[in-house]
Amino acid sequence: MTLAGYTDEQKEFQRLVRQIVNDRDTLAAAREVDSAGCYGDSWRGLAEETGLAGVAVAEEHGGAGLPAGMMFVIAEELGRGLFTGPYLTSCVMASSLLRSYSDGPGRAALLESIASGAVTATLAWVENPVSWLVSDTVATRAVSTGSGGHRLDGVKRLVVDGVTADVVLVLAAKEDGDLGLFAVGTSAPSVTVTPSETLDLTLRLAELRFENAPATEIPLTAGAVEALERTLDLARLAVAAAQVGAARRCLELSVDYAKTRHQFDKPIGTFQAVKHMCADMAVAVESAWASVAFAVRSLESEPERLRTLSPLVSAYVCDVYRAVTRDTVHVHGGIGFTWEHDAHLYFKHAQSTAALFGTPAELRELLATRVGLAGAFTPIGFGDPA
Amino acid sequence: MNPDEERRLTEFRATVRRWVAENRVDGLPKDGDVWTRDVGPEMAEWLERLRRRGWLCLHWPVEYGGAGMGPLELAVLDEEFAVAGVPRPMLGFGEALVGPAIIAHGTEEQRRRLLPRIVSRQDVYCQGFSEPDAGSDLAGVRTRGIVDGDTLSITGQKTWTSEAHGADMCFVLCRTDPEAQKHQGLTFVLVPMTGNNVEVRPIRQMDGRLDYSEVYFDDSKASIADVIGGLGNGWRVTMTTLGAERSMGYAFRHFEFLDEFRDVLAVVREDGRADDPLVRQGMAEAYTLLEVVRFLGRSRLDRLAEAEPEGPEMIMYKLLWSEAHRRMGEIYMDVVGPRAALRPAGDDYSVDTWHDVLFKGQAETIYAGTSEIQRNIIAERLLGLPRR
Repeated sequence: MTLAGYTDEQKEFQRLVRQIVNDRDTLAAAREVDSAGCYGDSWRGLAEETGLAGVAVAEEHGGAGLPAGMMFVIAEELGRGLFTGPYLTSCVMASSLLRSYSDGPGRAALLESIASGAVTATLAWVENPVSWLVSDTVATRAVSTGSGGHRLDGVKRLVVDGVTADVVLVLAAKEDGDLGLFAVGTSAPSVTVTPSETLDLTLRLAELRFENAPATEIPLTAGAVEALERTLDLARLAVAAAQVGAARRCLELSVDYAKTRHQFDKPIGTFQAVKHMCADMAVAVESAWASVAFAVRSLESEPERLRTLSPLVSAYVCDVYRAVTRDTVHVHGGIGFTWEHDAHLYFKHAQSTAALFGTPAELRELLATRVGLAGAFTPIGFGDPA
Repeated sequence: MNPDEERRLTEFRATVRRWVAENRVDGLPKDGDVWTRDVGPEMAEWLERLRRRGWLCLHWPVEYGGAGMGPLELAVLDEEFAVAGVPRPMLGFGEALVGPAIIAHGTEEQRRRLLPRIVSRQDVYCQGFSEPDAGSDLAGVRTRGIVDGDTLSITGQKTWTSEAHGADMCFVLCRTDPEAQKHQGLTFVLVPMTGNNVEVRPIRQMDGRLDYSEVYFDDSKASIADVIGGLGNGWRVTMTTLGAERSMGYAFRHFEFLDEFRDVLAVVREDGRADDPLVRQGMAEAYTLLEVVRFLGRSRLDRLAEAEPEGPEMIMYKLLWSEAHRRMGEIYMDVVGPRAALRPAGDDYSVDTWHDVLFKGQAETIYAGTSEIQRNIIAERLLGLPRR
């Protein structure tokens, strides 16, 4: 892809996903506490229909064979409709981690079942819920059963889609103290899932308690913490793409409203106070899109850049999205503060996704470290071809 | 981009890299913008080497003394110059504003006569647009132009004229038909600055510098042959000029921003503040902003590379970079601590990088169309919000 816009193939897929999202009335689901959203049978149907669940899965494992970059096109469209479903956790995070950092037996089967939509998976790494960043202090223990399997004990918190996932990949300490990743089926009686109440009803969080839960170690080609951190870098970019899609929708809502709502006998969009707010939103959305697109393109050519680009783009887009949703509520006046209007759905989505996987301040600190503010300052490459 | 085009650009990149390695001049200033006649001996030598190579006024057609480069070659050349640490000269208003106006609206005779003089720096231009009562509302200019045979007599006051003391010529927007409607009856004409009853009074700016002047024309003469676009057509020519002004800096402001960032970072480290979490937050935000400016600039280049029509980022770029730069100035003043209140020793009002960025940010959000004018343009032209 280029920063000029999507390729024809991407645009075609974009249209397809937008159609699906429109057909499902995802915003109604986002307004409803305990909505089924796009989980379960609905998700399986969607996966069969489009192949989007296999976006990060290689074709030999039943993946869709979609070109790189499509993951973010889909994320942007789903974000636009505040789609409630396991795309981020199962198709982006679990799939990418397995594809990039695992090579052992069982990997192919799990990837295949994720790609078909039959199974959804998520990752669980947080124990102390004061931060979403990966910590290497892990209390959850995995004990070998001697027959190749493990038993897991511990509590994981802030698990996204923890209520609906069939399989959870859990960060745990082995008997030798090394950290590993373990696949646990959530239907086992030894796994207790407690949903958390969330500000944004599209964000499904849960606490997962493992009591001697049967687990299978996922053989990793990198350290467990590194594999998780790099997967999070990718996930943040997918979240940013979703945020851009949603922010663009908010801009459209605001501009439409400013054109049609009349006060003092003219559209409120004639007033510079409103006009300038809309212009600022437009610049914010366009620059946010260009930032995501630059990072996505780097993913293809120079994947190491994601270490700096991910926190940079994520922090920027989180701030953009929060500002755009704030102004969207404001441009709509009183109606923007109602439950009935869509503005609050985006507003809450912006607030909660800004906290997701690291706050903007935590991400800026991550960026400061990775760009070498105190060590060897290494700006993101400038000499790449035009 | 097709493979042939990509190969061609890769070869061009190698050519530029080789040429710069063989022809670079030591001791050059960082900033390549050449606003005045007098430049240091190093810069003069660098300009001469570039002129002989044909690498000045890069986007102008070759037949008028330019290099005939497309946006992609320009991007490659700019990047290679930046990586090599040599400035890429931009010949001030002549290259940025007058040239594009002459190319778009001048006669063939004017193009062949006037453009090469800009490339050879025989004509250094200053801008005669703003007046005390005509700023954002530029069509309100009152400077008079009276036609008298083959000459035009100019009388009036211009202001915020950059580098007027170092210019040979001024491009003046004047009113030649006071009876016509506001946007009509205006004429765009090139006026000699020397021996022509032109008085230049420098204005001292907040940064202590004297870049801008008031310029008084008192029955100053210009040739009708130097009217661009014809009498009474000045507004149309001005629109082209303003369009070119908005795209000034093209898509490369981030190079300058990164240099400033490095300067401030060096001081932050020297002062042992690079581990301070608050300083790190500020510097990370400044770095993010300069990269985002680069990303939006890059999306503009990509659109040109795909031969797509100009997109929204073209109009948005000026607002984004100027507002981002103003914010960088605020951040830098915060992170340098007490150094914010101090200046380097010396007789002149010299300032440090953080002060310089702070001051620049105040000017940049005003010149070349204030941020408010930019927001109006974005809201009305891109978003389709009603004018009134």
